[in-house]
Amino acid sequence: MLLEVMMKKLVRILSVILCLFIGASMVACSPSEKIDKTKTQLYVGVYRGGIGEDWLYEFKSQFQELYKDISIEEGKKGIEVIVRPYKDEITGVQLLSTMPSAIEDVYFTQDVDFAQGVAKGVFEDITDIVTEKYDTVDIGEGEKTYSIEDKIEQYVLDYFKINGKYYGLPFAAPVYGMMYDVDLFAERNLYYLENGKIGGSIDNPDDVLSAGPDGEKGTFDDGLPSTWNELIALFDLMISKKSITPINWSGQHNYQRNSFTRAVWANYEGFNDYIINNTLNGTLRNGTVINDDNAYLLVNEEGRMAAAKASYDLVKDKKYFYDTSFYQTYSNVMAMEDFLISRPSWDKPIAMILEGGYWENEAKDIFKDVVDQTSEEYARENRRFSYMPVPKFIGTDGVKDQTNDEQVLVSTLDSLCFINAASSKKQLAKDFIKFVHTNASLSKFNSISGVTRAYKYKMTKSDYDHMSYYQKSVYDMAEKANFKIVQGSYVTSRTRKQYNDYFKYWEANKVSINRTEYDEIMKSFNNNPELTPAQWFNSFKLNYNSATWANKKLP
Amino acid sequence: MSQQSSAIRIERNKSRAKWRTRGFLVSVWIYPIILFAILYVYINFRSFLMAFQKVNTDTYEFEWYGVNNFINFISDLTKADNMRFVVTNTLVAFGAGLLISMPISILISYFLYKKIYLSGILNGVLFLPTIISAIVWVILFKYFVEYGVPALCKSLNINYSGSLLSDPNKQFGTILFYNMWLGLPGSMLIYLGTMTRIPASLVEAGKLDGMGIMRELFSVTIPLSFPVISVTLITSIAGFFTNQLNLYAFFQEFADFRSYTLGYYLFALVIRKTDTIQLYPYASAAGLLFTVVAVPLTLLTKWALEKFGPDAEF
Repeated sequence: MLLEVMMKKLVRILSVILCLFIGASMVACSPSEKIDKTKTQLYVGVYRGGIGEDWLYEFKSQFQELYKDISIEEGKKGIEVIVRPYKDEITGVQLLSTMPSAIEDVYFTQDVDFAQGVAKGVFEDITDIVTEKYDTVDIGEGEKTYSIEDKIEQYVLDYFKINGKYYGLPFAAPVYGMMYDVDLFAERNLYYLENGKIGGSIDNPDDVLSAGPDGEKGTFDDGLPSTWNELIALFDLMISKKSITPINWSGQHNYQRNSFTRAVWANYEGFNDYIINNTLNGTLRNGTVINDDNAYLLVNEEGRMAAAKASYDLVKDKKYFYDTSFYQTYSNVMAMEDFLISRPSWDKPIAMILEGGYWENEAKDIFKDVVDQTSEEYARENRRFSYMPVPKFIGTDGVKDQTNDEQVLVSTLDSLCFINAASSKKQLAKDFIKFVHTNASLSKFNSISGVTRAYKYKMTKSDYDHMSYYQKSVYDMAEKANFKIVQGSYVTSRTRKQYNDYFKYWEANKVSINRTEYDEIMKSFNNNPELTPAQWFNSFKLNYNSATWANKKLP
Repeated sequence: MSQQSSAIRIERNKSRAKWRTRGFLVSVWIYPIILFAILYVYINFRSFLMAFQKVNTDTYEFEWYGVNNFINFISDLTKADNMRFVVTNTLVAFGAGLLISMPISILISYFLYKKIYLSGILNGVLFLPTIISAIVWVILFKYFVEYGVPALCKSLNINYSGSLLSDPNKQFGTILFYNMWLGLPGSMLIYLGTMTRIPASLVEAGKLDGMGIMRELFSVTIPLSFPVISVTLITSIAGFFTNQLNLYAFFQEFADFRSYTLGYYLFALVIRKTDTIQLYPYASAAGLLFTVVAVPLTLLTKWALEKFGPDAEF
């Protein structure tokens, strides 16, 4: 009897404990951080990616210092910037649905449907700070006072301006493409000489190098392949005589390869003619006026053919790329590791890698590992890498000669910043955004992260000198291009947004041929040797013509 | 009087005890019921409505669209590029499960039940996949296929190049093999559990009549395990349209189209980070169409199995 009573009591106690556990599960776990209650907090959510967060901690210190004697809330003096790094939690639909109850005031993130966020009312209207002229600086146009708006390309502004108001700003614009090992090129005499032969080195002052892709001698791209044919000839030399693997990329991710394809297309066509593929509105270099009625004509752009040819050529000879480059398990980190360790340690080093502009920053720890395995000689600060501009298509089999001379940089990272409409510290958040977009801050961001931003700015000498050889090369290119970086993901055409499914084959890296979809151009050519660049290019016209355009339905 | 008051006290106590019991039950059940109402009832209701709507890409509001989503999906099913792969793969995956995986599961379960030589070790090895996380298996399998298999081929002087997972012509087969292998232990557990419940007296009686091991399988074990087998068959019919073959675990939303199944196709449509909300109504309509097909098919299968299946009980 006593046992029975005890058992009943025990069951009751256990049931209560169970209920408490169930109740506890209703309470979300949130990171607890110590905050300074004498100060006003500003919460900043940042995407934890290749760009890193070091730049934000620097701005945190500076901004806190600026506001140390200012009272925002009654009874408090100064502000405290709380940096909250996240991954996928602050991207996509997940972010938009959690923002109204989120603590973050400001976000620096990526992969967010901007128009949807504006429609949902989760982004704060920041028109006042975007249009306010407040930053007095000389960025090469004499001393002027600039607004944030003054520093951004018009088509980018069009993306962030909805119904006459700004709700966000572009964040980082890392440039994608071919990055090469300058030390390897110099050691093995892989630079083109003025006489058109390969055999020069930038470290040999007696070598007269060719002018490079920009056609000007005495610039950073001297000796680099000027034409696509020269690049392939260089690859052939690397594999036949130099025991070098020309290029490497991650098989697990496709955005580096797809971004390179866009870079080829954009360089062929030029900035204006490429961007019209996003806006479906404008005048091409040849005088053709493009609008919503005839934008299908854009599929005739030879830049698409150049992109197909380039992708085909890179994979046609399997010796051009590293063995595991198409492996699903071959991550971007593994690709960077192999690229970096190959010169000091392998018999057959890798000369180049397809990556995004933040790659050197992302590989910080890999550099340390390489030093541990080899020596200080291979530390990050002692090595030289550079961005290789896309060569021109002159005399390339199957591709009409390129007429555009403008070198175009491409960023496909859908990166942006905005203020939470639910923030209780909107003015402070706006002040922070203004602070981050002064020329000094843009310079500092570039210096710390090595990543360019799609704004007009001039780096200070000290910030510039702080950067590595590679980071300087990217900035130099961007500055030369007047920071006209194509942001491939900023689609402003209403037609393109409305008929999303119809436009799925619009970009150069995905097509449908004979009712089979080929996703990811380089992999498709690698896996289907019978597929040709001409087939790839011609498929665009089959899918996009006056007949299909009228109803916005694919055949 | 004292009898009356004691009776009233007893009634009161009973009533209090009843209310305490009710209160306790409500406190335990209220939370799961709320979750069910929101995460199942509301979501499915919303999904049902969405199938008849479309998203205005200016305002991102949902607008009435009639049955156009259904028409578009049916049209895509018959005409869109790559859909022939999607449908074929779904059928092949189903067929492989039904005609290969299930018989093998039953056979292996039977031999484990009969405690064949080394069944103890086999038990451990075969059930290992169930105790290790699926994501761990995916990673192990990927590395094995991309590095282990080429190394093995090289050591055996077999000419092999490329990756079974990167080559779209081999990707589906590789994934199918993975799913069949990983799917074995789960069903084996169920079959083995059922088989061990078969009365030993039945088996002994059969042995006395000269019943051999395979005769026992077909005449005793399978008929008595038929209720479980029929449940497996019914659930596989119900899951025909939702089977993703673990493609997301391998490739996220970037699997080659030639490996798609219907389940993965719909999932990949809506899982992307941007430009997905426009596709929600389309995906909802497809899901509803699948339900309209799957429900009667499942019920018909259940009826047929009950009517024509072996009538054995124990």
